[in-house]
Amino acid sequence: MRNGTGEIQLELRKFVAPEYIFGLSARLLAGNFCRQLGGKKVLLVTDSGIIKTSWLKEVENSLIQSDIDYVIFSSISPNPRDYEVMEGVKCYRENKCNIILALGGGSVLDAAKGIGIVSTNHLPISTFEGVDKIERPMPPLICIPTTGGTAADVSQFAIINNYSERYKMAIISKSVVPDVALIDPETLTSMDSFLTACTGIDALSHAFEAYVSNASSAVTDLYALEAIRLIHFNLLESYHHPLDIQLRGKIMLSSLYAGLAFSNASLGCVHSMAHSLGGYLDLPHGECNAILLPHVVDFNYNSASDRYNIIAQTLNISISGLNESQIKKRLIDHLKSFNQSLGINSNLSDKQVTISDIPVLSAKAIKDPCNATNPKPPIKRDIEVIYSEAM
Amino acid sequence: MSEEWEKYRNKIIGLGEGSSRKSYYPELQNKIEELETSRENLLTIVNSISDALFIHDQEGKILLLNKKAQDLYQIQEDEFDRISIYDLILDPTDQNKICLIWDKVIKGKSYVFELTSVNAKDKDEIPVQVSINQSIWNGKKVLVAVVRDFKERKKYEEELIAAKKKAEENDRLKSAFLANISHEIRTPMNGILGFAELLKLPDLTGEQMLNYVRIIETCGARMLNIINDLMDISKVESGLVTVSLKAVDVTEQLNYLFELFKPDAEKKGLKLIKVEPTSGSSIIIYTDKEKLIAILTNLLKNAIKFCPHGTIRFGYTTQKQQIVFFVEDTGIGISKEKISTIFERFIRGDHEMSAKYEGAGLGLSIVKAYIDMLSGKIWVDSEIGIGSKFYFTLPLSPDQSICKK
Repeated sequence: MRNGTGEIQLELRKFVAPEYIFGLSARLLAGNFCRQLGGKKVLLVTDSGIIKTSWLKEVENSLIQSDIDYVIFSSISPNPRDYEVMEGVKCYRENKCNIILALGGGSVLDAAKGIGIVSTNHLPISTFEGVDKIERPMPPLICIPTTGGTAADVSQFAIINNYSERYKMAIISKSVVPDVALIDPETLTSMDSFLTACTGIDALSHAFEAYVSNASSAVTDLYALEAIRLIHFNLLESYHHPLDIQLRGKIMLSSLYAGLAFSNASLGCVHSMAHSLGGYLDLPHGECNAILLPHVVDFNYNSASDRYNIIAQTLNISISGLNESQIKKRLIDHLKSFNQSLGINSNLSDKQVTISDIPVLSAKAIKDPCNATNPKPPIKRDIEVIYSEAM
Repeated sequence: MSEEWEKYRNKIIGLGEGSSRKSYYPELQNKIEELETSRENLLTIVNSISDALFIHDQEGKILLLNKKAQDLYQIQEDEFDRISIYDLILDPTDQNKICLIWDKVIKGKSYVFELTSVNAKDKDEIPVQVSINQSIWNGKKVLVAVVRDFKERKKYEEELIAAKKKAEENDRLKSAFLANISHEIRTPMNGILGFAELLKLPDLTGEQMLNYVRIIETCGARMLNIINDLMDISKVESGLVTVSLKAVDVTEQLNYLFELFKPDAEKKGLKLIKVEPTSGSSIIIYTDKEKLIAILTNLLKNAIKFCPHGTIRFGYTTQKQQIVFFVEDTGIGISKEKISTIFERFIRGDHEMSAKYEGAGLGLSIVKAYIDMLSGKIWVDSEIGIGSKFYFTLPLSPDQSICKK
């Protein structure tokens, strides 16, 4: 396919993306876009981390300049919780907002999507768990991402932590694709190195899973492979040179590419298992992905070896003359050493996961809709095995 | 792949039903359409109701009015913004009153009250009932006034009051009639008893006795008359009188009446003249013979009674579909005030007359009742001291509506 000799995919595919603006100072257009979308009162969703940065003040100024009233809602934790979404809805309604502006990482953007859905559909957020469950569109949503991995600003995904049952609900719907994404690489400079590593790996796993997804398309392939290439060659550099705006730009772009790819091709077992893990133990999502990715490659490889081989080549792994199990081993080793180079050396047992947690984690993970597009359809037992190998 | 996941996968790709991207704006568009539809329907409803409707602000400025309001107050569609509610209420007291009501309605109360308004064009009075409530117009508190035209209702009210008055008057008349009739019965009765007593006296000459007996006879006849009249009127009152139509030769009946009343008239020194159209040929009408005779008898008797000297003429003329009878005298006449009431039951031309002329005052009301039954009309021209001319009409040909009676 890549060299132009193979057949192209002609099965029906759709590609959905929001209007997005990529580039330096994109964040400053917030007021302008809020006005264009008919905003009268903005619910500005953010979190305590962003409040400490200069981004919030800048965005507020942009709203003031456009003469648009706003109210800030910032009580959102990492792995945003269902009750936080409901608090946000209360704030939205009490202040008679008519548009949502989200400034932050994946947690903030996902929470903003949750607030939007509930504010027009008037049902608890758990009602919308699953695929295509949203009846009414949400209010206009503008997203300004401040991390280079989530890509919630372009995706049809929203992940909300079901706090009482301790798992992350995947809400997948074209309804949660934002109206506008203002993608500004400058915002990445407020990330510390650990967050840079975690979110970068998150983007890499997005691209990986989208590329091997059974719903992938020629268009998503383009974005997925380019995302893998960009992350592979720039994440470590950016990790070491956090203020290099070119490197930050490349990571932000790779996150956008990976986002466009996975939003349309969806994901696989890395994410179904990471959602369960993140909800159960409240672990950073990127780190969970980093730990799980090599093990899921191991499980999937034989079902999509052609595609994994192309990924290996994209990662500059020499595969000529090797048989499939050799390539698989090299790919897995490469991913593990990539993790290590970014300071992620832990396994699940380091993260206080115990053998006794595995049945619970697997029971939740097997229900996640991300499994639907994994190249190899898993059964619960498969999930249990992958978790235990990641211990 | 399990079926469930296959379904998920298709939906994620976005090929499932309803899985397209949803945007706020089509939804808004739908809402706008819904609003427009509902506004359209509201306008239709507002313009269909039979009450006038105004939406106006607290200064009386009209913001919307329906078709009925335009019609009732004669306001053109393009001029309502120049007209204030105050232009439709002229009375300053009412203006002040409504101002106070508006204050309370704006605070959330609702009011229903009656008022005399005027139309915008020629200030004709329109009695109305107003129901007034508060609403919102372009974010401002306004008043919605539903105005019901009470013109008809006022008319019915007045008619009802008049009917009540009349019923009371009738009641009063009946009492007066009872008193009158008692008097009318007592007078001949006194005569009968008095002269019967005198008859018992010894040494009466044959002539005296004969004279007393004649007086008793006269009194008896007068009483019988009264009782006959009473029976007739009570039959009319209770609806027992029926009509029987037959071919009646008018000339024959007039001749009969002429012969009948000629002696009475001559006895009083009056001239009785029968008048017939010059054509001379006899005329046949379909009517109730007994009633026709009763009518003419009554009118002739009255004429003789109230005519001290002069001439009494009676007869008929014909017009298109009807025959017009008349009975004319040169008697005392009837005053203008009394003319309208002489055909009403239990009223006689003048109370003062009862002293001078005997009678229970039933004759003309019987006449009127009979003429009504025969689909005719009766009226009278009269002048005090000159005389009276009574007319009544009857249809020439049989009338279905009479037959039913």
